[in-house]
Order: sequence, then structure tokens, then C-alpha cells
Amino acid sequence: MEIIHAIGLASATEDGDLLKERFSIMNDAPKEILELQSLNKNAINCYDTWKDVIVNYFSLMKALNRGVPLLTFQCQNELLDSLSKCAKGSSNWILPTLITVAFELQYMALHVDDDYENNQRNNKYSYHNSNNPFSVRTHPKILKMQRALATLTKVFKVCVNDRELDMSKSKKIGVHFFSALIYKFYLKLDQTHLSGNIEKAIESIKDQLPSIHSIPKSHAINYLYYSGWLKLNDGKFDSANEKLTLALRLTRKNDYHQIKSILFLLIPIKFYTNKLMPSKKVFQLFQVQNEDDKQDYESAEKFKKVLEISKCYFQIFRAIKSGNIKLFDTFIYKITNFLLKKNLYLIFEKIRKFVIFKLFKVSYSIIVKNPTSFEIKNIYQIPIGYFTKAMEFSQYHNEKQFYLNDREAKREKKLQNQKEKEPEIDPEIRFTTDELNNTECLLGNGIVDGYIKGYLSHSLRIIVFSKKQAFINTVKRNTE
Amino acid sequence: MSEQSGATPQSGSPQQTGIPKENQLKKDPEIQTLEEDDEFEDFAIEDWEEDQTLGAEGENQLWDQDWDDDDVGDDFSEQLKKELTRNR
Repeated sequence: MEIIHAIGLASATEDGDLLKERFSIMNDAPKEILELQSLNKNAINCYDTWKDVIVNYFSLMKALNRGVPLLTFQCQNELLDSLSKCAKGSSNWILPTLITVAFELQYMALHVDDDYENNQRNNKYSYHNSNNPFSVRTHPKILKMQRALATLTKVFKVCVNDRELDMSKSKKIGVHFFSALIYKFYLKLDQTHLSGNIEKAIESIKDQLPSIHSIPKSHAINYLYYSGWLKLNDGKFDSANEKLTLALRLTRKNDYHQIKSILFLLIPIKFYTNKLMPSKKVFQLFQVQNEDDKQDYESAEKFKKVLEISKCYFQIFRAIKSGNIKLFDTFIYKITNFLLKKNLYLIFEKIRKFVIFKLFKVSYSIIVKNPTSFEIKNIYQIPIGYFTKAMEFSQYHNEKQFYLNDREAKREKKLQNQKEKEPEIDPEIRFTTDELNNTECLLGNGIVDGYIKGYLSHSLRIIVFSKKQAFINTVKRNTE
Repeated sequence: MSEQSGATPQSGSPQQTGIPKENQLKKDPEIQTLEEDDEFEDFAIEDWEEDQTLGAEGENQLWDQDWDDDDVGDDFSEQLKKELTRNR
């Protein structure tokens, strides 16, 4: 049979590109396979280790032709599994085939719905829903992802354990590509704790791996994006910054989708690690829509949603710059689901202290520039009450556009009424002990963290600032 | 995820959260529009030339170093100034 000979010849001559084209489901199934009732196994006995590959390829083409997604997925999974066994005894000529089959497998696992899923969608079940009769572990989509993950891990191990010293023949060139796919599944399956093993394996052979700049850029970016995201999950923000910055630098200028995805993660990380603010150009980028997206309804909708989130980011960073706690909290609340899904909630929670810190800095600047407007002996000794007042204003100031619901508006009105009833008194005695203690603690944190230079006098309820420099400059610029 | 939007309300139901039903209904569309997945899209091609990349220069242009600036010059700062000097 012609197709068997073609596969056999490609493997014998180590023609990776030909084999890749043959095994890609993007190409039409050969007619001779579709016309064949069953495969004569005696005819393929001579192909030794490639026998299973040929059998699985035939099954895949048949399943694809029958149009049964779940069966197609299972056949694709078997095909990759058998290819990984052949790969053990081959040099890296087989990598293009492994990469193509693995890429299409992950696509099937993540994006192709089978009949079950369509039915469940109609029944409004999901694996996140506790009404679902299938538990999270047994949901077919999860099982599909787990099966694909197991096979991808086998291929990854084949690449990592390749003992070939000549890099031009080594399968280690595929390590970044396969680890990116595995990371993607870990994140989807909420199994990020397992990524440590992959990370350790990569770390142990890092001297033998090709440079990130010498592998295809799409492989490098995928690896950097997912491993950067995992570093973010682990709270290793410097490492996440390094990886995501490099990923961003390697993208093409018009890869807007990928640039936007990287930026959603990198914007808070860049601020947290280097105190760099997203420039106007960042928000202009979010407004750019690909021509193709305008034609496609789903892409157009996604564009709108991404734009909406970016607008919330814009408001959040406006709040960080001015010390506006209410603005910050309001827009964090609006995108809470997105932040939780992307594991960004924690870093924004950590960033919140910088909103407060900026508020103190701006308040101090106001006091220093207008000393006669305040009851202070000198500009270095400021009553805690003034900062407490700034905190109160920043959290509860009246900006109607921020009200999320009637309840909040009513609460705001009540607070305003209470304030009006209160007589105008000195800031030192206007606040409760708890409120003053709270501000004192926040200022104390600023001193401990090294952002404020000075000390607190609890008995006098004042903060004494350094005459040289009360607030240190925090911006760190990456110049590499 | 789109599947989540079709789920029957559980812990977030108005009865359990104590949020009046009318407010819940007003709030939900806004939150749901932001719930969709932002999948990292696959690249159309495998590799490209160095000069097509954003590069260090392009990446550096995306960040401002003005967070430390005291003069924010927005409405909030003006209001804060008024509020702080109000009790005098």
C-alpha cells in the first residue's frame, strides 16, 4: 500500500518534514485508507517499531472521517504515544512530527467539544457546577486533558533524557515546546503544584539546553509566558518579570492578541517589582483591533471584553498614581473574577499598600507646600491625624460614578450626614484611637519597608520625617 | 468560562448574600462580561526574524517612570488638598 511505504520511507530516510505533513490532521486523509475496511497487520510487520504508529495513524484517519471528536482525540493520543516510543531511538529529525501531533492533540483536548459536552452545555452543567452529576475528576473534558497531559509528559521525558551530545541532533531542542504545553494543562487542570517537577528537570539540564534565543520564537514565547505565569503563582515576581518581559520582547509588533495577554500579567508585575507604570502606549495597544477580528463575531466580542478589562486596569493605575483608595478598590472589584482566574488577585492585593503609600506621599507634599494651612510646629513633625484624614478621604470621598449599587450609595450618604452633624475639630482628636493606630501602623510599615525615612512618636501621635529625604524614590528601570 | 455563565446560582444567590435582588440583577451583567477566558492564542507561524520583534526598545516604551512624582495634577489630588486644609 502506497501510504504505508511513504511512512516507512520517511522514517527510514529520517524525513521529518514529510512525516509531519503526513500526520497532520490539517491534511486530507488518503483515499486508500478511507476505502480500506481493515488494515492487514502482516503487511506492516516489517516496519518494526513504526508498526504501532502506522496502526494508530490508520485509526486516526478513520475516526476523523467518521466525525467522532472523542474517538479522534483518543486515536491522536495513541498516535503521539506510539511516536514517543519511536522517538527514543531516533535523533531530533522526528521532532517536527512530535511537535505537530502534540500541538494538534492539545488543541483537540482543549477546544474540540464532543457530543457529551454539547449535551451538557444544553443542560447548563459544567464541571464547576456542584449540580453536575459528574464530579470534577470524572468530567470527560478533564479526563481528556489528563490523558493528553500524561502523553505530553512522556514526550517531554524523551526530550529531556536524550543523551545525544551533539546539539544539532539532540531532542533537547524540544524541551521548551513540550514544557509549555504541560504548563498550560497544569494551569487548566489547577495542578500548578506539579510544575515543580518539570522545572527541576529543566533546571538540572539547563547547561545542555539550547539558548531561548536559538529556538523558534513561538516556542520560546509560549514557554516564557506559561512559566512566567507559574512564577507569578508562586509569588516569585522577579523571575516572572524576567520571563514575561523577554516573552514580550520576542513577540512580533503586530501580534496584538499575544501582546495583550502578556501585558495583563506583566503590568502589575512590572509595577510591583520595578515601580514602572504602564504608559499611554500600553492602553493605545489595547484599542488596536486586528482587521480579521472585525469580520468575526466571536473575535469582535472578545476584543470588546479585553478592552473593557484594560480600561479597568487604566483606572486602577490612575488610582495607584494618585493614592485614590476608593478608585482602586472599585475597579479591582469590577474585575475580581478575571483577576482570580489569572491568579493576579494576590499581586494587586500587595500593590494596594503602594496606593496608601502614595497617598501619604502626596499628603505630605501638600502639607510641606502649604505649612501655614496646618497646625504644625515644623514640616518634619506631622500629626498622625492628618494622614488619618487623608486615609478617610481617599476611601470614602464622594464620587458618584464609582457607586456599584444603591446600598453603597446609601452608606455613603449616611456617612456624609454623620460628618455634617459632627463639629469641626482638630484632626488629632477627631479620629478614634483605632483609626489613629491603624494609620500609625501603615506609616510604620512604610518605614520598615524602607519607603519612608523617619520614625514614629506614639505618645505624641506624630511622625518625624527625615530632613534629608522623607520618601525615597522607588522606580527601578531595567536597562538591559 | 462560558460554561460558568450557564450554571444555576449557588452560593452567590441573592438570598444567601443578602444583596437585594434588584441590585444583584443590575450588577451581574457587568461582572459576567469580564468573566470570559483570555486564552493565550497560538501563533500563526512558528518563527520570525529578529527585526520583526518588539525588542527591548519597543518594550521599554511601554513603561513610564513617573510613579514617584508628587505632582499628580488630577481632580483627586485637588480634592485631597481642599479636604486636608479644610479644618483650619
